[in-house]
Amino acid sequence: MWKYIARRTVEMIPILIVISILTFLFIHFIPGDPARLVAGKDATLEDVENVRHELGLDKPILKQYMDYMKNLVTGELGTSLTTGLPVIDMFKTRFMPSLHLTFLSMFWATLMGLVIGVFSAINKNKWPDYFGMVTAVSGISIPGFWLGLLLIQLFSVQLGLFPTGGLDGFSSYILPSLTLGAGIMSMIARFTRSSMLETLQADFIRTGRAKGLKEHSVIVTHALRNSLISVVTVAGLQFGFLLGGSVVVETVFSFPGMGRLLIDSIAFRDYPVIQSALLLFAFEFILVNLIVDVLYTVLNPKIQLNS
Amino acid sequence: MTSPTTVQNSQVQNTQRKYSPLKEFWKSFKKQKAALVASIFIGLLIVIAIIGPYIAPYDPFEPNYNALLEGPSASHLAGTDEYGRDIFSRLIVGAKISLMVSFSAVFLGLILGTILGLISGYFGGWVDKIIMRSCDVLFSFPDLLLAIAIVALLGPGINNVIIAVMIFSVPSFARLVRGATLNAKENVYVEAAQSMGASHVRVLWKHIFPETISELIIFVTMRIGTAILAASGLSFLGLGASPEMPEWGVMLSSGRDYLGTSSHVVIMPGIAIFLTVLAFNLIGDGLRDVLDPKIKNN
Amino acid sequence: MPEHVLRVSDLETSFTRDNKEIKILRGVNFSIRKGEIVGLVGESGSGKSLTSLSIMQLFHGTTGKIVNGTIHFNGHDLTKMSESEIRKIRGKQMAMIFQEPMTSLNPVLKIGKQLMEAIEMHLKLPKNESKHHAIQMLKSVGIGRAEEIIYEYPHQLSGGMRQRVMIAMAMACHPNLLIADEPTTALDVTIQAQILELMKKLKEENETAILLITHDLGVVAEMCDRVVVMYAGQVVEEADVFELFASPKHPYTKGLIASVPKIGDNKEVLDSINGQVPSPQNMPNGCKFAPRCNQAMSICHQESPPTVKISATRQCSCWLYVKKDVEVNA
Repeated sequence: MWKYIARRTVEMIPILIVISILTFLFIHFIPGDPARLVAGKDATLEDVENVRHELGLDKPILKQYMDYMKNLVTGELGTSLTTGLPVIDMFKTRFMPSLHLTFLSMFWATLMGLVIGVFSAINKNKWPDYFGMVTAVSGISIPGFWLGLLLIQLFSVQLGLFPTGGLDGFSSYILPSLTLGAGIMSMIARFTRSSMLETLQADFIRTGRAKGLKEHSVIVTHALRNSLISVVTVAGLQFGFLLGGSVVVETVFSFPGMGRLLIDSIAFRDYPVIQSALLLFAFEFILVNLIVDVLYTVLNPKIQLNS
Repeated sequence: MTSPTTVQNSQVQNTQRKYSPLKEFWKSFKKQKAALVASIFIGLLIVIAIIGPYIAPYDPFEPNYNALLEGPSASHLAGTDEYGRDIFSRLIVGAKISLMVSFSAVFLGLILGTILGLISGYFGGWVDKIIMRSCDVLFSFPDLLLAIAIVALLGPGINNVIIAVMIFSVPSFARLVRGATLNAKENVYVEAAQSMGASHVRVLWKHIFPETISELIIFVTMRIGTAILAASGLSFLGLGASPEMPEWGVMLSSGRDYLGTSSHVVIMPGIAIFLTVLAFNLIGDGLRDVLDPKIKNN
Repeated sequence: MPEHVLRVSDLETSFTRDNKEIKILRGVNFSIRKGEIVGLVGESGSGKSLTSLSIMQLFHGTTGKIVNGTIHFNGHDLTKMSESEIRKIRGKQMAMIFQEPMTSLNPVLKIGKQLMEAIEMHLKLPKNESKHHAIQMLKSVGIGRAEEIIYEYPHQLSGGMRQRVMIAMAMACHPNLLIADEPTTALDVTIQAQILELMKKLKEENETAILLITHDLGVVAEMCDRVVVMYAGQVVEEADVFELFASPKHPYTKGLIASVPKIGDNKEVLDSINGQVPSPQNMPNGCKFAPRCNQAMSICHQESPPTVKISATRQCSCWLYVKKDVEVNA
């Protein structure tokens, strides 16, 4: 078990290094002179050179990368060009709200997706199935920013049930998480349905019925339990979808998270923040994939962990 | 004693003689009602995108300060926006932008991804390793974030959106085609073709590519829906089309300030995006039911 | 208590496909006495497995349904019962084991849990007692490490062990009838013999009647008291096992027995029956076996043969034995 986790973690390292190189090079990929861009149109030549020195862009590239990595390891992510605050401090207040938002979305999306998927599967080609699958295909097709605005209009503006945006207690999480989770819920519902339909054909389901089990224990204990393994994997792999979606949803709801910070920084060309935010997102995504992998092996007794 | 078997044989021959893949496909696709309706919708949308400027009732760019934020009516089917521009006309012209962006991004991604996937799967070895590891790196950024990063680099604009959406499509296509190629390579007739001295390109093109085509068709259809969502999302975030363009995401974004008073400025473009993406997804689902051999067997 | 544990009369089962009803079982008749082992034989596609699923009424997720006939089990007609009434019988008085021990156990549940499910439900035992009962059952099917195995998953066991677990599960509530659908087909020959021995032993101990479905006539000769031969959804011959092998009546039975290789035979080519089982969609008129029968007469192609009672213990559906004096076996 621990051996497996250790091995998977080690396997992550090369990808992490490549990603760090990519985010490091990010500033060099910008067309034109980054120092000039950062300093602004009206800056004097001297200002530009100062910025260049500040960003460390005057050193040899390999040295720059080594410095960058050294800083990364010590948690030194540079200073924001717009606020003048250390980037790490900006992340500290932004990261947790975003994390809570994505987890809450994931939680209810998985729950609802499973319920819809199971009901669709056991009522195959009957109206609960059609209803569930229409909901699901709509959930995949609906643009998150539009759904968010509609929810704000209905529940916040007209019914006054939730805040229209910002972050003020748990109620601020409800509409954004519903918006963010809609797509994943639909994917999970569709996947659960097809997985359940496949599992319900299995021999051991017939064995369960031959034992005289009640239909609900055949469905829940035997079929769902089996499908759950692959559903968890699929749900986990869709986590990236949530991270991308969070950028849009946080913008719609003026939610003070990482996604909105990223968009604001892009608008202000705040490269140190953009660079580190991208790195953080990629890191989070890889970490979640690792957790999903481990979870899958834990849930599935067929996989031998030590081999 | 031989009669039953001969009867069966002649039946098999009969069905084989009549068999035509396109006809068979159409026969089963016809049964997919939702996908059929969706195809008609997309067909109409393509026609509208082509002849849009000629049939739009108003000039989509012409402000009319006498008709600001008017709700839907007989003269303005979808109402007017904050500059008094006719939203219906803007949606019609916007269809062209959305379809162009998504089609070009997905097809460029398809071409690049297919080539990489074919090469990777067919040659294997270090070529395969390099291509697949590069895909892994791209995969380690979530789709939309990768697109945002690329636009952040290249600057906002509709062309950069196309590039961004294309780049995040490439690894999925490459992986899909690689998998299919590996399967196809196992097939005897590929070996046969190789042993008869067919060139690599010929084997790839004539024998392996056709094997992957049905999976690709399904995937492309689904991907176009995703691309429209991503492109309009980027535009909504201010990273895509410029603010005066009648792009659906831009229209939604600039209309959000008037959501409370004139909700149609947000609802109308949203419906356009939603229905278009829905249609592509429904077609994709229908195609999967018809083409996917795994489902067929059940 | 009636003498018969199970009496199947005129059973007809059909499936629906593209709104068309396709009849697979077309009037099946046979019965099983208490503590008896009856073999149900025939080629694949003859309707053996569907007969067993019909008795258990395991049509979930399919379009199958019983359209005619009765199935009397311990005197009660199963076809008249509701699903919840049948559920109380399934697994308790009537149990089943399947062909594929690899896939018939749930891969993600521990063996103990899968055994205890039925015990807890039917015998209404508390958890610790049902665990004890499960261990006892595993021991009775010859699994020594029973205490450990209840905490293991199916994939950790061999095929033979899994089939033992399946048998333990089926016998857990001491059923009156055990339906075994090709229980040894997927197993090695040596394991086969052990499993068959085990079934015999359990039958003696529990007085359980067994319906053994198989296409292996060797297994039939080894195990069964009586044999029911099926062809194209009908019973074509029913006989005592010795009678059947000594003098098969129906040409199909003759063909089946002739197609088994015998030790000492030096034939180059094995006897086999020509052709295949006809598909349910295009059944021939008259006797369903006639197109493959080398003794077919003209009437065979026109009318279905009646069931002829040849002796007290055997009957046969074939025109050859109609209105003719039956020669007595030597």
